[in-house]
Amino acid sequence: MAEPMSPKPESVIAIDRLSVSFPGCDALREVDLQVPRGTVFALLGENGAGKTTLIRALTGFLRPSSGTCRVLGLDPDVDALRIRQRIGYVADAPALYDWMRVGEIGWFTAAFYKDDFLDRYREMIAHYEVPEDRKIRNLSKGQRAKVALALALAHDPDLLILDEPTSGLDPLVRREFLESMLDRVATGRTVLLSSHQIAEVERVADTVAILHQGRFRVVDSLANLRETVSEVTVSLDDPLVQLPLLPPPVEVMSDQLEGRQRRLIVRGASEEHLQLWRARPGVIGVRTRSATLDELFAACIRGRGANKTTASEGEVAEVA
Amino acid sequence: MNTQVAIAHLAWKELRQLIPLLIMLPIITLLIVAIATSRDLAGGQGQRIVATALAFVLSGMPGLYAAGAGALLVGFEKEQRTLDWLRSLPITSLQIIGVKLAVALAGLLVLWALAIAFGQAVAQSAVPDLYERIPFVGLLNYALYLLPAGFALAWWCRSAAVSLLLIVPVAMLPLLVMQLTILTLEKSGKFLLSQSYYQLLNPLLLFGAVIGLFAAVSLGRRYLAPQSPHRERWLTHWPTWQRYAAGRRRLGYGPVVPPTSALLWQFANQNRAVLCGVSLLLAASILALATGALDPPGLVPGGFLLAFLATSWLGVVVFQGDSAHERIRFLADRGISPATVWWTRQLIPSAILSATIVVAIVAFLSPKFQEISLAQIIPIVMSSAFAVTAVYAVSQWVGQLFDSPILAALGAPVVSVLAFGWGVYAVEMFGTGIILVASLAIIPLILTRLMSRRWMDRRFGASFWGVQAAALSLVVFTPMVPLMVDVFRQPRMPREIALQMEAAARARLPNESPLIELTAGESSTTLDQRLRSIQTQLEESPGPVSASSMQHLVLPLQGTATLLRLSLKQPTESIDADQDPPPDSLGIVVPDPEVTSERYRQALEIVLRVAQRMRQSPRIIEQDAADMVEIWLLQELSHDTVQDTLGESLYRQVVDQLADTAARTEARKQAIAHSWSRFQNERDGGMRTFGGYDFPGHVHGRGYLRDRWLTHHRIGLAVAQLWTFVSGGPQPPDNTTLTLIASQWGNATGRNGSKRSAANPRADDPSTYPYPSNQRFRLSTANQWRAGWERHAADLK
Repeated sequence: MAEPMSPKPESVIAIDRLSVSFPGCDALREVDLQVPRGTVFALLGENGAGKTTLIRALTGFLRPSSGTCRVLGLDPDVDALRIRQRIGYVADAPALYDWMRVGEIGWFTAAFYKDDFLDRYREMIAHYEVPEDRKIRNLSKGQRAKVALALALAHDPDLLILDEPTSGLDPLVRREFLESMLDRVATGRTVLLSSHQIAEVERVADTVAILHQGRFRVVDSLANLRETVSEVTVSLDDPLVQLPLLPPPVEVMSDQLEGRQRRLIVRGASEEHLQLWRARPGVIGVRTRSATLDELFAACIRGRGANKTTASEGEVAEVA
Repeated sequence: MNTQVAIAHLAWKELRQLIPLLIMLPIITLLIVAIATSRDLAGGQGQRIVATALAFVLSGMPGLYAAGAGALLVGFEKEQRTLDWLRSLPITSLQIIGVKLAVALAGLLVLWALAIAFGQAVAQSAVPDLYERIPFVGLLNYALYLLPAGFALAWWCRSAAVSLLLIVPVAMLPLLVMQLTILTLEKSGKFLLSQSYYQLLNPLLLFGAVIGLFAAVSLGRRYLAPQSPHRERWLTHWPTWQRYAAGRRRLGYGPVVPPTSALLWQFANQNRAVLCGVSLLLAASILALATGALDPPGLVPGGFLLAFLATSWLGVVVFQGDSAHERIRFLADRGISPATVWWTRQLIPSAILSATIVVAIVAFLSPKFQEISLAQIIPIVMSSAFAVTAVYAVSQWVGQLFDSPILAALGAPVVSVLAFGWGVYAVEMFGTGIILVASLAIIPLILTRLMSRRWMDRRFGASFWGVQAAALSLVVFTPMVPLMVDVFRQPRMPREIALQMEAAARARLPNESPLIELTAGESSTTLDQRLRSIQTQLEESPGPVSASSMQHLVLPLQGTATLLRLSLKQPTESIDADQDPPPDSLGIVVPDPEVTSERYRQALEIVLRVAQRMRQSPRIIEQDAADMVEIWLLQELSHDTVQDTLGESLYRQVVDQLADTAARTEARKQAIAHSWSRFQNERDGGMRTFGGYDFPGHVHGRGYLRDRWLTHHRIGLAVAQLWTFVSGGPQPPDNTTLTLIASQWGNATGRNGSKRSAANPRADDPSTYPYPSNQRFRLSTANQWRAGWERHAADLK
């Protein structure tokens, strides 16, 4: 399990032992998190991992069962409305007044924000090439997503929370949008991005958190993860060969047996640690390379017991 | 694909969609019927209320269902876009349309059956002339007409809410055709009897149902057919419309307005079709009510119905427009204040309703402004405002609770009727003040405001429903508060006494036969015949003698016995036995003293038996009657010759009866306990009487149940006092106790004590006690209990 990050004074989001329980289901289990200002923070997790629950708790749509959180220094339980006014939020299925025209919804929403909202909105709509005189109900899924993004960005919020924002967008717009996130971060804004599009997240995220079954498996900067997480392929002369236990803080995140090869995602393993495996009788060779975020994600979700037939054999490793 | 299985599954899906409506309507109907037919509302003045409520409910249930089924099965699916998925399945459009219609018709048949069953039950139990008051068959036919019409409108309109609104004018169409026909006939010099109206209406409805069915199938097939851009966008090909549309587009580019203005704009535009439709309904209702004095006569109830529906739907639209597709989340995501959202939703509907009230009042009262005073206008304005606020508030509460606009639109009027019925029930049954009931109308408004944040955030968890349940409880239980306050403030019968009386009431009565009322014998012309007749009645009927026998039988018999005793001292030679009528028709003045003595003995024996039988009664009134009879016997025994005349045996019997104070006390206690038991079980004719007496402390005019509770408590206290009094031993009671009992039982205070001037004084001294004459005789509760005559009687032994 990931270590909680040390609190930073400039954290835009600070979560302390946050739990959210529904009848028969613990959506979040004592989660700790700090999101520093001026970063793109990517929230990854499989369906039902608790990403949307976490975002709903941060925006005050959901009252936590226990624990605390603060967004922009405000408590969502008390100041939810102020938080929502200051952030830009795009939900996974954004609610829009479908009877309004694209231009009208911008004009309508401008009433709740600063003076330059409408101009920014119109710029973005023009940039996304969405016809202003078309009713929302007649827009395609991607065009609706663009309108929702424009509405969330037009007031230039300090914190942008995006729950699957690029779903439905075409690749070109998706790329442009993600690059625009980097521009925002450069001006000191923060972006919390929840997504399944790992490759895209990898391109823009500063920090990545992987949520699995209501708990963070990994919370670390992307650069650090690239340095510390590696895929290790161990060639064996017999699949039953046992690998020695690696000492902490080395963490074996996943372990799969494929014929006479074991593929492990390992975090924090140095050359010395790998030497222990190389020296093991029955080990033919050990190869290593940096793991991709995709592999790390899969490792977090599958865990060591993903490949059941090999997992029992893999138990011999007893690492982590 | 198995077509039969596909159709069965389709029917199952349609049924699942209809189930909320099929459950909600009968449950609410049952509640309204239960309220309307409850005790006392079903009688007297309540008859009109009951008949009106039931007419609405029983006929309205299938009618409401028929109006809403199309919107629910078609309109709602159109809005949810599930129809698009449905038509992608390998089934024909005719099958989709047919299954929807068939399932809806089956549901209508179920509701028809329920309405008829309810109607039968109500007609048999509470409102026998229900079917004379309600054109039941005609109203059921109306539902048959509305069902396909609702489907046709739902296929035709884009919005389910608009199709529901349009059903109102469509529903009025047959009435309009009927009225036009009548007017045409009248112009040509032919007049129809009022009964013939329905004979004219029923074929019209059936014809309309056939047309509606055709339209529903045709429009459904058209909708489900492959889309044609030309058909969908025909309006855009109209140049004028294009110009208008272009003008509208520019609206979105005006200067940025304040948030409240933007929210008002959003609400008005979002609901403009419904707001316009409702405004038209309100205008039509004012027109109908304003011309209600003229023919045709159905305009006034029709106008009220329109106004009611329009008000209710205005309430529904307050939140439903934003609930659809969870649009309100747009505002919630942006942190818009729930307070601002709430009041901007209220402003336009409230303005429409206020304007309607003002216009209606001006329209109705303007011809009478000269005659009517401000004091008369204010109650009219206040009651109209209250009624409108109540319906509007309840409906918006329903609109916030229900996710489905169709269910909300159909449920809101029914729930409003239920709420109104509860208010009437509370006033009638609990005696709750109208002001308090009226003020409860504000609760749904407060509730929707309190819940607006959760509604915006779509947080419908346990706490949301908990608050709703608490508010509902408040609405349900607050009208009971005055009743409860009265109940708990009223002192209760001490527990110990209640237990003692309960034990006494469980004891078997010495005589469990029904009370008998002795008669003088219509055919009896002589005293002997009369005495024999009474003796025969006493022998044949073993029951206790009723106190009602006192006035017309016992007192005259006592008078006769007194005369017989006196006549024994008088000379009889001068009496002419041949006089006409013969002197012994009264049986008193006869030449032979032996005959007179025998008759005197017989009379006293009868009086003694009457007293004994009265003591066996389970009612306290007979105990008081027995007291009076025994006092008379005591006075008789005080005369010198009586002991000789009666003979030793009879004299001893009388003395034994009079001297047995313990038996008398026991009989009184039995009577109190049994009277209390019978009162609690209402076996003696309801709450007004106790132990044969009309209870003077009976409460009335403060609500049926409140009256019952208060009367029950008051009688309980008075009974406890009697019980304590009768158990008090032989010593004379203090005057305070006597005064208290007198006030509790309505005895004039002067009647107690031994004052000779009192109307019915206590017989503390039998020698000076003025036994009341037949004209002045009146029994008073416990008036002679523990009086001096009992000690004199005990001394006889």
